[in-house]
Amino acid sequence: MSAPLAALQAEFAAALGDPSPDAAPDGFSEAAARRFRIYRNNVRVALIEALAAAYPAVLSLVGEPFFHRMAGVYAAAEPPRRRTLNLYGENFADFVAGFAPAGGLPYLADVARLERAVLEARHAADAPALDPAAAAALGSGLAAARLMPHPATRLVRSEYPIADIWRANPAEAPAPDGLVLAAGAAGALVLRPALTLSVEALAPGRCAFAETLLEGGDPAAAHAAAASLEEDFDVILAFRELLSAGAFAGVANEPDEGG
Amino acid sequence: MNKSPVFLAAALLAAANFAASDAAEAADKKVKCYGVALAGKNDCKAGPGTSCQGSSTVDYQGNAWKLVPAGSCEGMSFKTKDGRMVKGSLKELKRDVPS
Repeated sequence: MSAPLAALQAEFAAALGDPSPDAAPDGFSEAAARRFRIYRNNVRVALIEALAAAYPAVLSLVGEPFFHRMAGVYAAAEPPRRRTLNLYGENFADFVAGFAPAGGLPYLADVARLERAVLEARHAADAPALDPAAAAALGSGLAAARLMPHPATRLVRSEYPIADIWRANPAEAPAPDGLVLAAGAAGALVLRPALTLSVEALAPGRCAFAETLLEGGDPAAAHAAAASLEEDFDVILAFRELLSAGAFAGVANEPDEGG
Repeated sequence: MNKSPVFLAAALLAAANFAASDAAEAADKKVKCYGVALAGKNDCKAGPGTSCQGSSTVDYQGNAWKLVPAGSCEGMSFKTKDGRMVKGSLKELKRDVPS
């Protein structure tokens, strides 16, 4: 006599997430339960390894034993919702922010947010970046144009120098001497216009400038936002670098001629 | 203070033009030039069954290419050991292919 498949699957899934040592679906023999628990452990380890692969800087910052415990708690609470683990761990950063034992590292959740942005950028759709010449062709209309973000472009706000922390972890080289936590950083910009990923630290003016543009504001509004934070904000350099680096995919609407 | 709308429009346009020239510079890169690499010094492609880089076996092998600055390939000419003059080509060549 067998339970309907859906009920069996639901019970099997619930038992997979049950952290108690002797968890097993109802009606399993002792031998089957023992094999079930091996499977449950493999699932858990696979999820932890997926998180370790997606969050190498967080792993490097807290060390393997801490990371495995933290990831294990997350994995038990957040089973994967997609068939692949490529993008598993969507809200891991929020979880890290609320994970009390990690409270001594206030920047850890922001580093996790940056790593999530990097992961999403790597998996984002490929698209050609906006040709700067097309932006130049808008002429005086450029100030009121709306630029569409490239699918891989991500901006992560943080008061910590997360781009520098990210670059120094895992440590391929010793951490730079100049890494100061209260360095007045505002965020990090993640770009992948073609096959090369870049992560740039953003000062407050540039951060506001990029953020306004990525949220659909026009360059004039972006400049106003940046200039309100930095008296001598260099709009030419900031805009040039965003266009050159491939932060945008196109122009959303052509502003009216002479408007 | 230089925050007038006219200044801003000009500044944005300047930025876009700078970026366009950045892009032109980036595009000014390397091309595949066939028939110019010394034996074992090709960057890639040297026939079926090879694993590409450094796999050419004769000098100036026609089906092996080397990356060279764009525009410089077809102007290159070399004298082979048996006294012939050979030139680089942007397309694969039939000459100097090991049998």
